[in-house]
Amino acid sequence: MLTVANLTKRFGPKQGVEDEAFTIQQGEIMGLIGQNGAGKTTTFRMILNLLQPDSGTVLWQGHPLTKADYNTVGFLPEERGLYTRMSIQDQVVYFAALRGQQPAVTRKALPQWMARFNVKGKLTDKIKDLSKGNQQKVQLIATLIHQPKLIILDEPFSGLDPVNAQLLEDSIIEMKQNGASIIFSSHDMANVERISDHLLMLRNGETVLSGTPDEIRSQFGNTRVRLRSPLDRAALVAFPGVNDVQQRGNAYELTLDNEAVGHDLFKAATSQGYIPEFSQEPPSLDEIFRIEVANHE
Amino acid sequence: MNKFMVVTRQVIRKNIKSPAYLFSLFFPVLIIAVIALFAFITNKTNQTPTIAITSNNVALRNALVESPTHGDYRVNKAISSERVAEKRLSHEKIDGYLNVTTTGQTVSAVYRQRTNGNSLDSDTLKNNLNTLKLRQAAQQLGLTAKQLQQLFAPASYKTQNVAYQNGVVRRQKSNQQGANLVVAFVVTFLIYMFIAMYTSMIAQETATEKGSHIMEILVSSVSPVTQFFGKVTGMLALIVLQVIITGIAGLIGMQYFNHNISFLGDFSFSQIQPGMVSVLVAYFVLGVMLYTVIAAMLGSMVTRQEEVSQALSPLTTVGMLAYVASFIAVNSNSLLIRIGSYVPFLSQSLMPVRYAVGNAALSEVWVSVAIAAIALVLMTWIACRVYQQHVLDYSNRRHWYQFGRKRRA
Ligand SMILES: Nc1ncnc2c1ncn2[C@@H]1O[C@H](COP(=O)(O)OP(=O)(O)OP(=O)(O)O)[C@@H](O)[C@H]1O
Ligand SMILES: [Mg+2]
Repeated sequence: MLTVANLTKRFGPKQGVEDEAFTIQQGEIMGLIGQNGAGKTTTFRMILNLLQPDSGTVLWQGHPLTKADYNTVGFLPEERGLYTRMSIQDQVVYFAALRGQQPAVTRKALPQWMARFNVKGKLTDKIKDLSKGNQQKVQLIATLIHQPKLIILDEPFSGLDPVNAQLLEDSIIEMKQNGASIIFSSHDMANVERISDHLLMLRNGETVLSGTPDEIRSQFGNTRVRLRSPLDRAALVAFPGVNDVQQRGNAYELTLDNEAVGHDLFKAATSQGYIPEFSQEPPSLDEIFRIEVANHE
Repeated sequence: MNKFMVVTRQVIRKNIKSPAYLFSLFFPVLIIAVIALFAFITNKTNQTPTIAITSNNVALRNALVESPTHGDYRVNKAISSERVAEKRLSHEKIDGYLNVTTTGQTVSAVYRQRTNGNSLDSDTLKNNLNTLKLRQAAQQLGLTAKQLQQLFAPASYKTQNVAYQNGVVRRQKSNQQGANLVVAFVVTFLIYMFIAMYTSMIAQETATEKGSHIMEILVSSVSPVTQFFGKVTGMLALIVLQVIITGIAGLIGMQYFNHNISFLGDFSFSQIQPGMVSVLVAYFVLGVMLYTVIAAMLGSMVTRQEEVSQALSPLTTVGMLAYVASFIAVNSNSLLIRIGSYVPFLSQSLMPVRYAVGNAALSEVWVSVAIAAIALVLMTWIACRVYQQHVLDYSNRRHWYQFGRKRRA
């Protein structure tokens, strides 16, 4: 279990992170979101002691993270770094050895990981000869191959195509099922929502949102409706309680004043019987992100 | 496997696999091989000449034919007349012939050789002829063998080199001093080469890791102190390996070319004192390590790899000055040189030379070695502290530039 409490860091007059607090249980994934410069990377660096906090504590299994815990850590830094002239195998074996895993164990496991992430390249290929995405995958393998219990991934999805992003999501879920505590940052709200058990949004170092994706979204109310029905644009705009009407293909996306408006709308839309689509949901994470950013400006 | 060993092994493996490093490692072997090949080829094309000997004095001719040739020439004994010899020469069957004419007491010889034949090293042939002539003359004068020996015994001539140490003469056999100086020069040069090479290796490596942010992974896996010592130890192992390979290549080379290279003519390893050897080994390790440790520190202070050579330049300049000063130290024992031979970063170049020419006693050398050892411990401690503070310091470039500005001002 990772417990972060009252974590604060300032860089001169600039705010890094302000009074941050969260807990990640074993087998739990925490997604960290926020604009550029919000303090995500700073948070990760403080968890790992790469940066000294001004105040606050970071506890791993109840004690501060020390040298003895390094072997249970898997860390993907924001700026990727590999020894470009090393072969894939030598590179992964070395990083794993630094985390205390015997070279023989790594060498045995590596082919499966290469297959799982669909890395295009032979074990003996030099890192510099790989494409950026494949280098990224090698770095991910080096981060995870020693089966860490505390996994910190700083924007692991950047640079991956949708297929490879899916492969990574699957691996993260598997690590979670093996009991790891995982924290990652991302600017892609869709995959944050898909895999996070818990979500934290930072703005200028301050925590503005915290909770499960469902909790957070429901805070904003069931005020979004997607509709395909005989009602036309004019009828929808005129409908009492409907704020905003956007046409998306042959469907409409509506913003309601409150949840109850949905009931009246449903009745009106189905007055002649069957309709192909009616769904009432909270705003998407993407939208909430934009709302939160706009709110504080 | 502990992490210190992981880092150490990595440093060794990575460099051993680099073609550039391998080339430098086996460069002396390559040089020896090239020289050997060259010697082999010249030996092949320049064979022993076959000659004939003719004379109007049959006894003298036969004696000369039977004289030892020391492998300098081969005599075709069948040819005894000048006419036949000339004919054989024209048919290129022989490379030349010696015609000896005796008239009374005078002996004169003419060697005719083909310009396109194998050339004759005439010393042995001349000596043989002179010996025979002397014997002939002695016989005519009725001298005994003993009288003959007395007559031609050369006067004794010896060179003695002396060095004064605090007004007291220190005796050294001249060839011993020569050998010491040769070895001191070679080793001082190698130390300088190694310094240039290893400082740049370790600084580049550290700066690359920092610049490419590999350092964040390293520091969250291994403590910077372990990393630092692992790296430095890896470098030490490479240095020792290279010293051994260079040493072996040098040894084989010198044995092989002992006769071919004139300045090594009377050089022998037995002439080097054991004291000299331990002094050189001590300076090799201490001197190169001192520079390597500081280079690792400098490498951790820059933010980008491109800044490495600039950061290293003050260090390499000191190394070069010390090396240049070692040439002055051969003939000068000025106060500056004497002080320099005790100062760490300079002593590895100056003291071996001062000792070799007899300007410093062994006890003084060990004092200087001890100072270098203390300096190494101190510098390692400082370098390790700085390394620890700077490996993750990307934003705060002030340290380095402040340092740089102060230096330039
Ligand atoms: N070493 C440093 N020195 C000074 N300021 C820093 C330093 N590191 C971070 N900051 C500042 O702290 C704030 C948070 O930065 P951080 O890197 O944590 O953002 P982030 O959320 O990771 O952003 P991004 O999405 O762009 O990666 C920024 O304003 C940044 O300028
Ligand atoms: Mg970041």
